Amino acid sequence: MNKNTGLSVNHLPVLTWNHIGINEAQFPETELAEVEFDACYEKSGFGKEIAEIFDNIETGMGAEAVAFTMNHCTNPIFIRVKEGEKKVIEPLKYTFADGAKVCDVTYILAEKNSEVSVFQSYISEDDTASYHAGLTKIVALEGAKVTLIQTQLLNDSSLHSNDLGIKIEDSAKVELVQAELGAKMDYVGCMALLSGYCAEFVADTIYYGDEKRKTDLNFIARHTGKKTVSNMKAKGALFGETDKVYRGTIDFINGCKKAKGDESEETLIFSDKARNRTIPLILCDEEDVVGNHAATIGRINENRMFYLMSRGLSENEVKELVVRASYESVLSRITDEEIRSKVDSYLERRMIIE
Amino acid sequence: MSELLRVENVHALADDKQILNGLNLEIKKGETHVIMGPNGAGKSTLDSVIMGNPQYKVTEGKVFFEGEDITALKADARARKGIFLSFQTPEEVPGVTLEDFLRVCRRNMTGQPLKVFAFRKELKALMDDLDMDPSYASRYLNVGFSGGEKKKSEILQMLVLQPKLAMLDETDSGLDVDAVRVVSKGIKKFKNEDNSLLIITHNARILENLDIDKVHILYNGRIIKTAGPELIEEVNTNGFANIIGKED
Ligand SMILES: Nc1ncnc2c1ncn2[C@@H]1O[C@H](COP(=O)(O)OP(=O)(O)OP(=O)(O)O)[C@@H](O)[C@H]1O
Ligand SMILES: [Mg+2]
Repeated sequence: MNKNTGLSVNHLPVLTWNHIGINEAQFPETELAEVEFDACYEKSGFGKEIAEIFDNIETGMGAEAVAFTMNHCTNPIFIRVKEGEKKVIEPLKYTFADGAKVCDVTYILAEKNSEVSVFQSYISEDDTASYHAGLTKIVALEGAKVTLIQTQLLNDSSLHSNDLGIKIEDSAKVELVQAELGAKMDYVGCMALLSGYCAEFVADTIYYGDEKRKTDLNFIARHTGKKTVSNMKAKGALFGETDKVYRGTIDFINGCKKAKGDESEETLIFSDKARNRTIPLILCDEEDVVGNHAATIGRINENRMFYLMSRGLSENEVKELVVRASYESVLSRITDEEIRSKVDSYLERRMIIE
Repeated sequence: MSELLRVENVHALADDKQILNGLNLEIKKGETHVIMGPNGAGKSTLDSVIMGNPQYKVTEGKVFFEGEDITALKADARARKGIFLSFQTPEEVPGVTLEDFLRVCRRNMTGQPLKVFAFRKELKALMDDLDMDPSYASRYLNVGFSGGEKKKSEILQMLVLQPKLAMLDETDSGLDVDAVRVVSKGIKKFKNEDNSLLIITHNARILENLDIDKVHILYNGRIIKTAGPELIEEVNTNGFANIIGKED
């Protein structure tokens, strides 16, 4: 670990020469009391076998981030949904004030044919510089369905890292819905291992870059199981002098016959000073697979702008309408009324632009 | 009757290509005007220039609306003054439902908060009149609409926004026989003594229920002939050759 640059995170699964400088990223550490995570673990009642599955799950941000978050864990949460059970977990709402520092570790175990929905929200309540490092691991056993919805609205001086490691077994499905809209540094890493036959992974992420926010996203769908399906979408809008990096990798491992992976990115750029870098990778160690990458990156089409303005909407109103429209698939999933109204007013406030 | 729109000696270009060459047009409140002309004459460009499409640069001349020079105004400001354009090729806007869009536009135009249920009822009635399936209200604006459905969506927007001047650019093209009748009924219902219509068409059917005040022939970026409704019949029988011939 390098104390000067912080944690080395969000590595591309393969180093590429032409992406030098963004093959990985750095995320700062913070001063926090050290804890023995194993002690938390014991209380979870997960048992050795299950603990081992969780321990072996790789995440999108990588080993250094995992170690840091676990060793400084402030909020350990263990969710276990028994075979055949259906559960909606009480929303996990973290509010940040007075320079709060939170390292939350959430483990979700969905047993055979169970269904669970988990909601995490991270919101600033004042302007102080907070620190958040989150680690969420999900194990979906045979036939289980897990939905994880996350919203992040930290203030412009706060640091946020959101690290995910997901293992999906036979016919299980994990759906990740993310609204990453705030913070000074907004770092997200997600690694989904589709190990079971017909395992499915869906990610729908929206991000919002403005002022000097740094957004760094690293998504990896690793297919090892046959007939596995992944679909990762990222949609965002860039304003001001924001700097965004998106790495999206579909990794087909030898043996994952008939696997299918899709990744798509939609980026609306509203500022000449905004920086946008995207690295889509499809790694094929197996021939019998289908991998697709699609990207639409750019400004609002001028015909569409004129059409909408001709109905009386100002340029800014059109921008807001178009951004909200691209966010709609994620926003509509935020059913917690309190958080939804905070997201709406956040966007309204931020989008009074240029 | 007082003047609503005056286009005065307008020259306009796009991509350095001269399209309008000193065009003059005046429409009074309550009037219905028709513009005809061969493909590529500049008809849609004229509508675009009146609406304020920044793709077209007005190099000379002015556009007045209710006596005010609006040449420099942006499209949204013109819309709020009461100008509406039914597009020849309407845009698709994924993610925004037709109903939500109309609600935003209406609220924006009137500056008044909107009663959701009352608005929904009003919308349903308008859609019924236009023979539109109510399920279209919750579909994304024009996305996957057929050519004819898009034109109906334009007329629906016109009826919701109630402009003072509605410009209809080939609203009838792409409509089947029944749809033309339905749409022209919608237009007839919209029309009153205070608002005006500027209709671009290659086809007289949409005009059947309307009282036409003037018909203009646009050619080479200028109005080369203006007459009464009898001109429509003449164009339909003889084409443009005669009229254009006199010009050249
Ligand atoms: N944005 C543009 N850039 C370059 N040329 C343009 C542009 N818009 C229109 N033109 C050209 O200007 C001319 C007039 O176009 P316009 O669309 O106004 O014709 P129109 O009279 O509406 O024709 P139609 O009956 O086919 O709809 C055409 O030659 C067209 O190619
Ligand atoms: Mg045209």
